[in-house]
Amino acid sequence: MATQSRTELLAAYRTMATMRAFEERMHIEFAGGGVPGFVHLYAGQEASAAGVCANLTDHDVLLNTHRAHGPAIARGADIFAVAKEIYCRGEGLCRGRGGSAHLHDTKNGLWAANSGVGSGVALGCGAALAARTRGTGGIAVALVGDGAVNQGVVSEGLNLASIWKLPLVVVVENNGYGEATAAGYAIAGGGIARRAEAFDMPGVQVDGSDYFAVFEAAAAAAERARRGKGPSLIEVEVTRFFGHFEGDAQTYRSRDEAERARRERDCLANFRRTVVAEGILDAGELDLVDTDVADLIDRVYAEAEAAPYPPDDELMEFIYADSL
Amino acid sequence: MAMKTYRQAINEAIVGEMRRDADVILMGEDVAGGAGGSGEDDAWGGPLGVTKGLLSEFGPGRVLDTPISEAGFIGAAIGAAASGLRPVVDLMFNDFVGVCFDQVVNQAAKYRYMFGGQDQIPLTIRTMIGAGLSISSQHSQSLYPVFSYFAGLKVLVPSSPYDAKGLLTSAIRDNDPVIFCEHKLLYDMTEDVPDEGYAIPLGEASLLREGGDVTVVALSRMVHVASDAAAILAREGIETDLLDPRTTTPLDTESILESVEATGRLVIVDESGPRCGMASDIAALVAEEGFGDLRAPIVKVTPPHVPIPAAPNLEALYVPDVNRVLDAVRRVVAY
Amino acid sequence: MTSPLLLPLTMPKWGMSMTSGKVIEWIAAEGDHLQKGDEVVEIETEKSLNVLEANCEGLLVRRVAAEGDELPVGALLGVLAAPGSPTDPETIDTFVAEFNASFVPETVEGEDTVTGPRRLTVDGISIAHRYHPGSGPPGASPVVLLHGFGGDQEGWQFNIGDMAMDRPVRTLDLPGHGLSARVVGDGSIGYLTGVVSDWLDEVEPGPVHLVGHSLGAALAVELASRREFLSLTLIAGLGPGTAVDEEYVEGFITAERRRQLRPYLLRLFADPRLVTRDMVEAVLRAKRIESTPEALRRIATASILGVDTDPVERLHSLTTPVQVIWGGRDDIAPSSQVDGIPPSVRVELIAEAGHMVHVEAASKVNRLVRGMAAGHP
Repeated sequence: MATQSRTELLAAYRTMATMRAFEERMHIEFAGGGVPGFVHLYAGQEASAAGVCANLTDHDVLLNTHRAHGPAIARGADIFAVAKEIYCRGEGLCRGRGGSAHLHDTKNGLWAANSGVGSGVALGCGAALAARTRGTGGIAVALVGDGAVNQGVVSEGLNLASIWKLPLVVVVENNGYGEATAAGYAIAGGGIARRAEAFDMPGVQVDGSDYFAVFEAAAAAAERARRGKGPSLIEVEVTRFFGHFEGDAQTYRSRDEAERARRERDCLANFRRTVVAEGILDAGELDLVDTDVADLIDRVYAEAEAAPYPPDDELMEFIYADSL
Repeated sequence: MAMKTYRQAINEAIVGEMRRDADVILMGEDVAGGAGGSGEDDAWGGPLGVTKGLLSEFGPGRVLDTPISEAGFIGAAIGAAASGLRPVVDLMFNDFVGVCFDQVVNQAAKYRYMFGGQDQIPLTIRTMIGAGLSISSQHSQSLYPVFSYFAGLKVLVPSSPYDAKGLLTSAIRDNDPVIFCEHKLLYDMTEDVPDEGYAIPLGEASLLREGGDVTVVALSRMVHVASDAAAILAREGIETDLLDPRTTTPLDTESILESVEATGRLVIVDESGPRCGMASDIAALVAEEGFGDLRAPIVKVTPPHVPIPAAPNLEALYVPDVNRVLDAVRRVVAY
Repeated sequence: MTSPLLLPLTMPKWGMSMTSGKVIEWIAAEGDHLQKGDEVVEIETEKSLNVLEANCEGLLVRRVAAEGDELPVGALLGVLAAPGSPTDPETIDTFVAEFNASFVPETVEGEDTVTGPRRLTVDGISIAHRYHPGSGPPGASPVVLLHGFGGDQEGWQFNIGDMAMDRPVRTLDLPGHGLSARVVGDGSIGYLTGVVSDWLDEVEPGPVHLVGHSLGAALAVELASRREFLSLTLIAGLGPGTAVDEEYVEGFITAERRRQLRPYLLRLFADPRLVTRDMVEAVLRAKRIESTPEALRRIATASILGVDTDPVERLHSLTTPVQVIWGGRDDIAPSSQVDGIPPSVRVELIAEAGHMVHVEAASKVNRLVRGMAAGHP
């Protein structure tokens, strides 16, 4: 059972509920045509980011995936700036230069993904190396999806982390599909967690609909990294409620797969059931959180939509730190 | 001041900056050479001995041998740079960028811009360029125009020991990702190089020879080919204004245009290819902004559009030589 | 040599650090009648490829060095026959043999040769200096040259040759300048003078003639109040407190690039053609050396801009014979400052020259210095 306090658990619920409401609303707004570019929704995977981020400190770095909205919220980025970045607005996290897939917030220890997936493992090695070299006590956690694990850079990063015993945790969010191709088809070797063994690091598989399972696995891996014992790998099994990107007809999976997941593998419902049954939190206070969150999401979207794009004369800004 | 090789000059710049700033680290394949083996720990100091001796002074915490894993360790260097270290990473041959292109051009180059200026990437990637050793097309290319394509990178092509030390010092102190291109045939070139540290500002061409008849812009080793040609041309009464831009990003366009304004003729000598190369880039610059000054067509002296062969006779045909420069200059002067 | 009419053509010394050169290609053929200035042979040094020109009229009777030979400075390259000289092979053979028998390559360490700068530790800091023995009579008192702010001893290149015809010449790079250490204490005239004085104690304790340009003139005046000199020549400066353009000093210190520096170097000369690319590059290279701008700033603040004394008054109290040389078009230190100088001080205003009067009017300045020294043996 979790080692978190009542307050921490209430906060975890709020984080997950916020992520969910943010994405449910994004699903509607994107369909309405108001959001530039394309978006990948995190709904269904909330316990993963929430359980991992609950173990991180200010000195740590979370390297995000392109399915970026949920983890950015879980890591503590300002949700208004998150929404504005997805809307490519000038007040967005990245001043409208990154968009949905590249939510980056250095001051909160959130690093954005590379669209050529998997690089977070290599960059995470660097963040971990720097933390150790500079003695900050920080660790790096790289989130990648199941689709990224066949990228060479992931294997290279795992190897480097292992030979240098870096304070790195690699969290693979396995939602069953790399875009439209099933993980079972694409990944050899009897599963993702088993790959850790080849790199001489612990590898565990946890149920991503169970916040507590994710939290505990992440706690153990973070602890190991902080003690200088080297990297770990956690495979979190999740189901995304929406398609790979918004507009994805999802013809590669059966019609009821997502429906069934919403019924049977909803991490929010599972969490609520557990904490109420254990008598840690009562349903009333969780309902209150839901109301609060709904109100927040209304305000976030209203503000984001109304915010201006970055000024035209900023096109050439921020290319170099030391100008040419 | 003492005579030093290009190799020593580079070593001195790294040592100087590592002493000056504890955040500077060195990583790459065999930069110490010998990690974990049964022999010496500091066996190689890089495949050509450039970083020899650094391990003993700075220790394995700051001089890191990596596996043959360019995407992994260059990605790691970017992450370390984003975290405040100043890594100097060795991408042995620039041809190997093929396996870590994503890290270099999508991560390092974009990191600051795509995230709205939140971060800086003080990263130096040292890499060898150039043909001439009969080691074929995957070890001999000069890819600085490829790097120069990407906004967010800075690209340095030192042609001499003095410039190598001063430019590498600037590269390591610079807060942006810098690709530092070392021509492998220049490692044994010697020149007076100050013992003290010094930094050459980026984006300032070196003016090697003053003359009013023709502007010759040459890069990296081609500077020496052009210089030999200029000496011969001087005996024919043709005076060359010889410029070495030293850095392709930033590029000292002002000095090039100024020189063409005075001479009215331009020959560019470049070891990168004839298509989408630096010669094409500089020719386009002058065609756009200095057209009115031109008294003859611009001539590019580059290799042909072909992969680099290993056979010495074919490779010699590939690399521009003095005679090709002489022909080009005589042609524009006679035009 | 045996025949005054046969003349050796020798490996030239281009630049102070050159010790040898490579014969690349003979341009003149044996039997060519050469005029002074005709191209004879192409020589490559560490730094450049250059053509050696004939230094007098004559017939090229023998090409001694082969193309590709690497030879020390002073080695025999060929033989020229002056008009009227015997040109039979035996005479030339003898000439070559005798030349080679007596030829000793310059050694870098020898005190009595013109050499690259040597180093001496003075007051704990490394000072680069040179000794030019010259061709004056034995025992001639030497002349010591002190360069100005931001310069170095190479700045005397047009003066040393002439002056060394009468007497040895000594130069140094002041602290913070040239190849000397970037250690300048508090940057004051007192500190700099102390180092120069201690250097003189080491290398030249006897009586000398002192020449200073600009900041060097300020040090010379200060030195003259600490020790005896035979004569004092002050160029474009009167001593501590000389008025100098502040904007020039600031601009010179901060310029990091060619385009930033060149306008300031132009202000040093009346004739802009003297500011060559090589000069700009040389100054930039010196200024790039770590901590140079900081050292220069300290000197500028303490020794140039922050000195509140009347230099003319100071001259009245000097007992050493003094002459002052100034360029009429000096844009850095206005020549009007010479008004009011005591009549005992000889003042030479060179109308057409700027601040670098010893470069722009080298032969005049050389003549004045030689005259001053000759008059006060």
